[in-house]
Amino acid sequence: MSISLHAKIPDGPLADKWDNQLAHFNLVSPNNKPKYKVIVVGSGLAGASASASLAELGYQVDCFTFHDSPRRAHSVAAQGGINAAKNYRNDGDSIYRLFYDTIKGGDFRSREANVYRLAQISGQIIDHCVAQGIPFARDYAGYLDNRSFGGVQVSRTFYARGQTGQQLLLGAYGALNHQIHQGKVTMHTRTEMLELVVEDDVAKGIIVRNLVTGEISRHSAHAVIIASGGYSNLYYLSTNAQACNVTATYRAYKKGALFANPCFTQIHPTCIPASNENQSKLTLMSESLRNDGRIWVPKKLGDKRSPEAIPDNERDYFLERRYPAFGNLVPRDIASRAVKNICDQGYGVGSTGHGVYLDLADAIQKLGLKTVKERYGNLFEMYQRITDDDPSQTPMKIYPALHYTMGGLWVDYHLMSNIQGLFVLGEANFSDHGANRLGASALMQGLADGYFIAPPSIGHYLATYQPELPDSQSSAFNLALEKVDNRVNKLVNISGQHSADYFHRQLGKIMWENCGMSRNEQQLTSALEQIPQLREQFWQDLKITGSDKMLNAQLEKAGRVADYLEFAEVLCHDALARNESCGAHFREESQSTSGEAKRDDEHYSYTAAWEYKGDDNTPQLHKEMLNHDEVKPSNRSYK
Amino acid sequence: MADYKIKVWRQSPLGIGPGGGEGPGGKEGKFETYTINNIDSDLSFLEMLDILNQQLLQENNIPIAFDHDCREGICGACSLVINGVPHGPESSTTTCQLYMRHFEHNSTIIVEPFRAKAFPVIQDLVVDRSAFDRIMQAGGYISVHTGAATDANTVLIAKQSADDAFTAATCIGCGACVAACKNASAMLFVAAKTSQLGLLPQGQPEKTNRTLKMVQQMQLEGFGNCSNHYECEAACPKNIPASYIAQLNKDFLISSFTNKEFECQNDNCYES
Amino acid sequence: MKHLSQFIFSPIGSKIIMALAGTMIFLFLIGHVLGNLLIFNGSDSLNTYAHWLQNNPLLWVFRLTMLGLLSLHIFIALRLYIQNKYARPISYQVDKDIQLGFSEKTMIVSGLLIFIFIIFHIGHLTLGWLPTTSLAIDNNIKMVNVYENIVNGFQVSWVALFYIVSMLIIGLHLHHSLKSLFQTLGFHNHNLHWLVYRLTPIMIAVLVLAFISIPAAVLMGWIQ
Repeated sequence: MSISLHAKIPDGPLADKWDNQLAHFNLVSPNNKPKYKVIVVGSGLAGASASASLAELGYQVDCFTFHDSPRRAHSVAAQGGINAAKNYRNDGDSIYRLFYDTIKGGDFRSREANVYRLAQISGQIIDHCVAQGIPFARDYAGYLDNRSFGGVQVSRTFYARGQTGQQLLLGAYGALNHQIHQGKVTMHTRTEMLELVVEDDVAKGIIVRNLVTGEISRHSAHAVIIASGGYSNLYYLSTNAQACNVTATYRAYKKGALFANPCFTQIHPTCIPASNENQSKLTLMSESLRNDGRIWVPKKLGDKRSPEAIPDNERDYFLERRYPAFGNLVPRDIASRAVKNICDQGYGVGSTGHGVYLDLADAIQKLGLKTVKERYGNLFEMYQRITDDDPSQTPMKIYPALHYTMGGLWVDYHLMSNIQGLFVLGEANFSDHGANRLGASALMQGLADGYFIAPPSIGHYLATYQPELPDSQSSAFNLALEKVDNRVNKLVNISGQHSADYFHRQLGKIMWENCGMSRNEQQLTSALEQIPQLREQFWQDLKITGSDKMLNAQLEKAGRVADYLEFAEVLCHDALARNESCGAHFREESQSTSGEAKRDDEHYSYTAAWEYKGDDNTPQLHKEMLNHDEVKPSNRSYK
Repeated sequence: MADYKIKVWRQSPLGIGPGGGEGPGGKEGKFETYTINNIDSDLSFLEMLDILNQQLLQENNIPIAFDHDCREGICGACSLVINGVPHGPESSTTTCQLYMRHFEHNSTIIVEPFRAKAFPVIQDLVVDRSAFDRIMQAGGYISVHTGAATDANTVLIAKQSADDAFTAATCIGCGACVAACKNASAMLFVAAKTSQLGLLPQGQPEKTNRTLKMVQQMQLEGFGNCSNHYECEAACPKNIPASYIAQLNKDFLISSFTNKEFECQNDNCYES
Repeated sequence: MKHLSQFIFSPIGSKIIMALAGTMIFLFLIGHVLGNLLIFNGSDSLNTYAHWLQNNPLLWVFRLTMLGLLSLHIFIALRLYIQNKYARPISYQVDKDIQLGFSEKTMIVSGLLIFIFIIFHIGHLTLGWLPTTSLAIDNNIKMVNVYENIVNGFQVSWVALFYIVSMLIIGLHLHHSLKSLFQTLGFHNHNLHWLVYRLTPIMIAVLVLAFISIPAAVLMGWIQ
């Protein structure tokens, strides 16, 4: 099919675009809505909110999740908060400022119209969530409290202690439950999407596998929404949940959907480092620790003394040294790279050498242990539970880890991919965060997409569509089902030596070393050589015991790793093609003399959208050029 | 580095194993004991099970099925009764945040699924907790239509109420309360959920209906009754206090005598 | 009516009714022990009091009410117990109590033992099953000599011991009941909780000791 990267951005001044769009959306008449069926893949913030809102409008919704309950989606783990341009603090915040901060934070690699709409909707999200009963933090007068978050200069972050994600998800889960109770949403739990069905360039449905019985079934609909989250787990160790995967989006990519900016992967600087080979995940510690904590390593190479034994003048507070103005509060990507650099030079601490100290001793001395514990008590407990070290006695060890992926399926202003009728929401799409996401913006985007953008946009699409349900017995469905069946059988019958985890761990290592926090041509080329070899080995040497007709975690994992083994190449191609440093993507070839990221607006001011060209071919790059009509790109400086 | 004997429940209720034979543990289920060596004390309990599963795989056995996901104590997917205590011997901890340093070298660790009629075993240690979802579907929400809300600060909420609601809202829906309760009662779960909304002004209009519907659904699912033992509170990884059960008792009493609409939809609600 | 039955058969409603019935029985116990203590004031006091009770026109109303409350309490307790057993068809291999107390764990057993005691107690002193009890009018005092029945009865040491042990079991039963009462009725004020947890053991101790004092005093020969 021919690819057109038409973003369908409405006319008019930036501030009026969304209103203009709303005014001109096609509508489906109320008595016709129940005739349309929408499939939603994923039940996190974006998926649950979209399912609920569409069902409220009257559409039939079928929602799928591989979890046992929609409440377990990984949105639950977001700690910090959710941004909204409410200006409740009277500190000069506005829709424009949130828009500006997001564009700048994304290093000028996002679409202005989308970001402006996100900022416009942000306030409505808070209104809706409060109405749902989400217990946001409040002050003594009973008003909503705000905090400043992620290096911005205004207090616009709404929060619910350290578990804003869980509370917002419970709100969306509640809305979803209400619609399930009304019979308008059919919920399919422990069911994984394994194929998208596309007929005549239109998404017609999906093929799923029931994870308990292994039954493979077909579901047709008038529109398909993918809200399946991000792909950080590609790197094996990340802060993501174990089951997070790229399968749904990657399957859509293989059916023709474009994958945009896959190399934009965000790394979070303050995670608890891995202590050994068998560790399964890295736990994120709130970035707020950097407000009071000082980050350092010993000045002397190979200094094995315990941290308390190292006197102050033998410590290198490298962030304060390199970035005197912002010190320990430099943005995530800069802090992460600095930590990696210092560890690569051999100054890292801990058993693996992949760690630096985050020291709260000065804060404890200045503020008293009580105040520090009030601020970070729960983090102290969490750290101690995991590492058995008490942070009030000895400095914590931290190391960066993969945390969020800005890249995702390419979508237009209506959140529809280049495949008609395939909508992509939340972290699964690429739309709003450019090359780097601001703290507390992920929750905002997921909910904006699900509650407020997808429902009218999907109505607009359905209005031009006949209400007859696509035939799920068509040849396209038969073919897709057969493909899934074959693939499952193939995986079960390889009878090799190694588990899916074994390959995943190797892939993670290749990616972390060659396409991690900083990237160069040589490493990327090397990764592109190693990945196909590993993939080949996987398909010859995978071992799964048990059958496909039972709950088989090894089989589930193998399917996901198989997709990662292909997707990793797309990511590396993207990283290789983007020979500039922007946001979270740091190309060593593109840096200033002092080692800071150097963006190249002249050559790379575009969204890179990759098209699948067959298993043995390099994917094809399509460029959506970005307009910077409102905000002229400037350089970030944190010196 | 330590060695352990892991005595673990295996069960394949579907009765399907590889080649159509019976799955591990058979339909009725039984305990199997495995030996696992050289376990680093900094590994989490689930990572130890990961290693055991790799070992089983290498021995051509079928790995043990267990639920898990976020591995940072917030998604509520992990379960397990370890040495007789849900989520293991450490308090305020989910299984995924339980570390092997708390287990003695050469000890036998007994791992069982959460046991309740309302939580049937799906396979090995995986149980079906969808009863919780159905309780929530019965009324655990505020029925606000998207777009209908007024400005967030038009409703003022006293900090105390917001904090109390929040403590209830920290429930992760793991089901440890049910597993720990001698009666397999879901009262702490339901109490936390009804209280979260019932303590907030937004939750008032639907409060009596919500309380009655959720309690009825709890009963229909076959959970036991509360005997005020407070084992739930002790097992709760999020330390949700049993005082919310008192709150639910009060709300239920008031709702029963003030709500005129609610009618039992099911004959079973008189008998269970 | 439908609403009421819904309430009664609900898991929470049942408990509230059981708790209220139990509370009434507990209040009766307080009255009962106060009356019993008249024994220390000599035979005349006790016999006069007993005579007044037995000839009170409301006696049967009272007896039937108590019987009703007791039956309700036991019926609901058994029903809940069966439901609770049913809620966990397969028990744990290792079932550790995290913080569960002895009183909490033994409620059904202590309850059944108390039921047996009540039957024995009524049989012993009201229906005269034991040879030590005489229901005939004592010619000297022109009424049933309750005082003598009690003293004679408790002079049989196994009877006295049975009473003493039963009172301790009642104390055990009450220990959980009273703490539970406010929870079940929905009061969870922090201060109240503090008070209840400290006052109930004292209250129960006083009540149980007061009851025990009578058979103990007879056994020791302080009352003859």
